[in-house]
Amino acid sequence: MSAEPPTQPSRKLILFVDDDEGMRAAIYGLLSPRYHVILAVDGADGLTKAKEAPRPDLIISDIGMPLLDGIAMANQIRENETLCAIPIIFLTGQMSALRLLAEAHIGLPFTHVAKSADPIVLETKVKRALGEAA
Amino acid sequence: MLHEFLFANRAAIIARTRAKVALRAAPRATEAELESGIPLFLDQLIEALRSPNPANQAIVKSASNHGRDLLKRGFTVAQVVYDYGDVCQAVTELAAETHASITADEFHAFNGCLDDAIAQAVTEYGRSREQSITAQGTERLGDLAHELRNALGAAMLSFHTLKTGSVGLGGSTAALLDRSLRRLSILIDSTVTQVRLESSSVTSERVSLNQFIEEIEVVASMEANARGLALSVAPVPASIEVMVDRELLAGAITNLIQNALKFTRTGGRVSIKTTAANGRVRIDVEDECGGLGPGKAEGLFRPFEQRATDRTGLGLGLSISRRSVEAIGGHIGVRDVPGVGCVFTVELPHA
Repeated sequence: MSAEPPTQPSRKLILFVDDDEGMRAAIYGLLSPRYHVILAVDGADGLTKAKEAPRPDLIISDIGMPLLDGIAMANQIRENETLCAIPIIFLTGQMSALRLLAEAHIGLPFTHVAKSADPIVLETKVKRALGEAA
Repeated sequence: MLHEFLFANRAAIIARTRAKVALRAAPRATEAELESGIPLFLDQLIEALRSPNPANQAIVKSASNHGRDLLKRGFTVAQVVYDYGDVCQAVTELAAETHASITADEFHAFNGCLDDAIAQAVTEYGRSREQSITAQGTERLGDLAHELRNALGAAMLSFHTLKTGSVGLGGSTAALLDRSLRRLSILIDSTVTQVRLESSSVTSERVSLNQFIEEIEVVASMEANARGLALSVAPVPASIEVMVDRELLAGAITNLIQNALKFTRTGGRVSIKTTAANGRVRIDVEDECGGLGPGKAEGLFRPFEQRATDRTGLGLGLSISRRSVEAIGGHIGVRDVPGVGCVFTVELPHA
């Protein structure tokens, strides 16, 4: 009997939610070499895609979006049994969003990164959220 | 006593005040306004005049509310002042007609109360208005910051990806960086233009359109090539000149060309023609977007109308362009060419 080939560790799945086309393309370009990336165009779309199998290992999301914003989406994810433990990184373009986050009391685990921050910061937080060595 | 007189004739005073208000040419006060505002003021005035040391706190507070209320209903400062003035006149007339025995001191106190009320109402009106304007400004600034950070974020992320060396400079990541930087540039230009328009800092100089259009063509043809589109710029006679703010005109024409390139189907053509006739100069920017459909043309200039798929930007471009052109003494219009595209026309007086 021949030995089974060693299984490759499957790539982690990241869901990115943002209504801006440029940001979606940029995040896809940054992360897709190392991870499997799925894109959503607003909070409602993000919720739908989060519920589809396979479950994302990490969700990165903008806050200010039409239809359903990032915080409302995160709250609904927290209330979902299968999804509530998924870490969330908020990518914010407005400083006022930080105040909203502070007031929102979203369940753990989550963190935030400014869109204008050095991309290294986002990469580091992604690795940490996925339990990888930074 | 004045307060007894006011109390006894309350209904008559209110009726007379309403009659005076009805005669005003400016927006008519509604029944609701007269229901709450003037009667309330009158009642507090009676209270204030009754007590030996009239404290005007209650009047001041109700006058504050009255001023805020009038702002919400869309009235002007003049209306606020006239309201109280009409009450005063109604009272004085009625007192004279009925030969009421009211002392000079009492009229003095009455006028004092009115002065307080007017001052307070107008101050509150002004304060509420400033607050509302500031809130609008803050909201717009927040939206602008968000757009700028999206464009900047996309630029930084794509450059970061390029630096890793895993993708080449000829691919989609580099194109995204390019697009994002251009978007930043447009956002910044449009913000500066808006600030200039709002602060009315419009200059005027003699501009030769020949050279002006040539400069714009250089950048526009690069953009057209990048999108796989053709750009035709008809030669401009050297004699065509206008007296305008150069930066505002450049911004408006550039915006029209950007739109034309954005909405023209791949492989299509954008054309720019400059002509002069009867003391007017026309700059036509024609695209091949396929046509707008009936009745859609004028709606384009409203802020936040956006066509089809490419929704980057704040949707303000065309409305800013129109304001810019009007600020330099011109006119901007659009014509639909069914099945083909649109022609945007900027018309200016010949210098």
